[in-house]
Amino acid sequence: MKRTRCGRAGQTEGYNPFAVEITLNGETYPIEAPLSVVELLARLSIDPRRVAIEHNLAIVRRHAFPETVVRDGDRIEIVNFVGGG
Amino acid sequence: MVDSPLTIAGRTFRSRLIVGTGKYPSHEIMRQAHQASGADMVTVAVRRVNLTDRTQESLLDYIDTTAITLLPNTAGCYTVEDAVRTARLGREAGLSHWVKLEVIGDERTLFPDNEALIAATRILVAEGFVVLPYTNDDPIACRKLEEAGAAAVMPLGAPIGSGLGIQNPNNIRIIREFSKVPVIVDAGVGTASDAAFAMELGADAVLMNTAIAGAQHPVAMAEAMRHAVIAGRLAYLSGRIPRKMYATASSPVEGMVGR
Repeated sequence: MKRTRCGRAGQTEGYNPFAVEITLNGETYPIEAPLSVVELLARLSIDPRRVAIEHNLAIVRRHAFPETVVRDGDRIEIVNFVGGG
Repeated sequence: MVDSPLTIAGRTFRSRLIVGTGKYPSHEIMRQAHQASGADMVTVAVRRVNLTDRTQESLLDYIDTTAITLLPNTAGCYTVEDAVRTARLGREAGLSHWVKLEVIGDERTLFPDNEALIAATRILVAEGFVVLPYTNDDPIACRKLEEAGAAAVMPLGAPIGSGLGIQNPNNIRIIREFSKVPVIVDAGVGTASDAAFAMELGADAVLMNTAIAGAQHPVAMAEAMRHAVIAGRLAYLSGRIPRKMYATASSPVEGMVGR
């Protein structure tokens, strides 16, 4: 399989050509490979029923969590309710 | 006296007191305060999930959402874009299309940016939201919000968290007179008499957070606020006596002994 995305300069040893880097709640977050929103939430130990997700500024509806794939360079926001007035 | 219940966008509420969920000493005290307040709608804020500390308890574990309507806010938003984005996230998190819309114009006073507020109201109403905008105590701004489709208008009594009480009572009275939608005095209440006063001016409801959460005894203050809102509402409906400059005796002036 031909990968169109190039690896980062200077990376050789242990380099995983499938590795991706996303921006999660404003912070850089590396993952080994693209994954679904459901998988991402599971990895973060977050109950999907109590959060809302934004994927590249678009809301991800809850029913679309399994089929929404997070790829390199994507921006993800995961929010929930906190105390407020 | 029979009063009709508070009705916003076709939904009726038992209580005319709406309370916040912020700044309580603990979730448990918040839960007790909510119960004591009798409120059946509470505001919540939409924020990024803490990814590093997953041990924190969820706020929602302490709110009986079968009895209490969640009202997500857009607190902290300074632009139309941020407010609309936050409202959409709140709708997704709470599975409800109700929003307390805030578009703040100034950090020190947290006064609303009316122009942006009206623009954001228009956008969210078009997207099917029930929009409850937090606004200045300005009758013209409130009229424009109503024209933009707001389901209620929520003029401030005083700056958020200030506890100064109702600073411009006459404007609140005029807003009530002008508005066809419910008027909810939001922010500025410091103690029970402020809440009662807001209701006596004709407000349909009062929304508060700090006055309860920041009191030394939040649960007791919540109960005081419940009574205050009921008392103020009854007084408003009862038709108060006119103000006079001098005394009028309450006891008969005839039949005095020794006269």
